[in-house]
Amino acid sequence: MSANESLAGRAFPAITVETLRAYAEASGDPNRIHLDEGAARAAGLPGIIAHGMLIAAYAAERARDFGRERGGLELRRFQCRFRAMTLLGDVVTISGRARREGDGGAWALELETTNQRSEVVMISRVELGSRVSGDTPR
Amino acid sequence: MSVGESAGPFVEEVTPGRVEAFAAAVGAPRGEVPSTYLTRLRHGEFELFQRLGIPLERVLHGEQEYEFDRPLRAGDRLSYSTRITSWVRKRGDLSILVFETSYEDGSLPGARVALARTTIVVRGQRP
Repeated sequence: MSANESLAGRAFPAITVETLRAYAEASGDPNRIHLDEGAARAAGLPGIIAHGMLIAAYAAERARDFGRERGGLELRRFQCRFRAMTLLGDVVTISGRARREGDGGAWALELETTNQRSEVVMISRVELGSRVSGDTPR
Repeated sequence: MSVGESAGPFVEEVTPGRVEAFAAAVGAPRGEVPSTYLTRLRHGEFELFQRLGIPLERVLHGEQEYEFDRPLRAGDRLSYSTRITSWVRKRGDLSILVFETSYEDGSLPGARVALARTTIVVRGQRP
């Protein structure tokens, strides 16, 4: 088994107003710049922008998929940095690398989220580990 | 200054309905709580924005970090407080704020479930 793997790019559906409305409601984010073109422009933005945390959610799910494929690894740590805004109609693709860490079944993923203009919109790092036995608080 | 200013505690239940809506919204499979679900529990940050007079339209998300002591589960009751741990002004028209939030299991006081660190960029804001 490889200790270092390349993750093939996975594209997500283009961002629509419906996507953002559903996410705004589910995440409880009232910020109008994600829902209203006028509000976004009044705030000095080029138009409605996607919630950064929606783009982060896509990367987290990509990492969780990786963990599921390897026997149900749990997500221990998630870090992301936003580099560019995501606009309506944008298609984001996630790719990156996965590296084994230590010898306890842990993996570290370094992911890159890019858009159809080949801009990096977000970089993230996810640490996955084996299931913790019991629920002992640490 | 504002570093050290805090809000909370807040309590929120991780209900099956909220989990399902969030999972559907981010394209995650049913049956588990999506890893970024904690973005719902940011009332501390919103209250601090209000208290400091920072309008949401001027806020951009810079970075986000989560550390999990255990996975979240539907049925969890989470208690959390948020504190400003850093405020740096850059160039005169940009401020970088860092919020830290500790999430505890409401049914096991003192048992931390997760830690969140949110870096926010505030545009065009003067103190």
